[in-house]
Amino acid sequence: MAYSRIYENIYTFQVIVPTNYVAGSKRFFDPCPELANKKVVGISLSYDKITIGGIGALYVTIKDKKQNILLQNYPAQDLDDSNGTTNFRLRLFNYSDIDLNNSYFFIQGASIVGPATIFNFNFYLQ
Amino acid sequence: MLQPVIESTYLVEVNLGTIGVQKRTNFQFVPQLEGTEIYAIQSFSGTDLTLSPNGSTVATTAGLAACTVTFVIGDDEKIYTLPLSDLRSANIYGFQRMFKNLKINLTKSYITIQTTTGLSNNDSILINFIYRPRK
Repeated sequence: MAYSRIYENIYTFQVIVPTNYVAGSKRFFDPCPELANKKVVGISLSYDKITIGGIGALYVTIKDKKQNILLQNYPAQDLDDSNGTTNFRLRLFNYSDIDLNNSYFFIQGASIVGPATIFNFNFYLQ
Repeated sequence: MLQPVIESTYLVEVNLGTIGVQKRTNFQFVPQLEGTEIYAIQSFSGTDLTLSPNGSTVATTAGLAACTVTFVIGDDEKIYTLPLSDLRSANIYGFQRMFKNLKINLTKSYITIQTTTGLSNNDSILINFIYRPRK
């Protein structure tokens, strides 16, 4: 039941986990001016240099500019967009003021955090 | 099946402690969810998530199938012994199971272990509540 997803504007935000990352510690995202005044209608995750086990222990908290918590400890695995399985569904949102710089992630489990771990958030904009 | 447009989410972890058949484990008080309208709920297994936010082992897919959840609305057990497997997105074509604006009394709601097959002591059950914040 895969379906096509064609959006006018998709912004991919890359996150590089530093080599000295301590498992379980909060790590705030870099500022993302590209999202300013944009409506986010979908979020997906893609990754390369992180293990599938790492994604399974990756949690994301996203706030808006009023410091309201939109997503609290959201499992990043649920946003996964890279394994091509037919049961994937793009998670839908309707956010207009995401404050990525005050949002954060953490990865539980030291053994699964490798050096220069990279993952990407794809923001579907409207 | 419809897909919800997500407004807010809160991931609740319920640690089962020492497991036993017919053991009930109540949810903790979550102030963020008090009085909110919950319109979608999903669960996860150890196949989806390797470690919980607290670093606990997540119940396996078989372990999830061995548990049910009862959600209390007011004082009534309106959703009674719902299989947790039925809330797992991977089991329902990737969808998030939707409900009609439930105001759940979380501390009276509980998870029941129907059989200990696939479960271990101190496994965690993770349930993601998708809700509409209080205005």
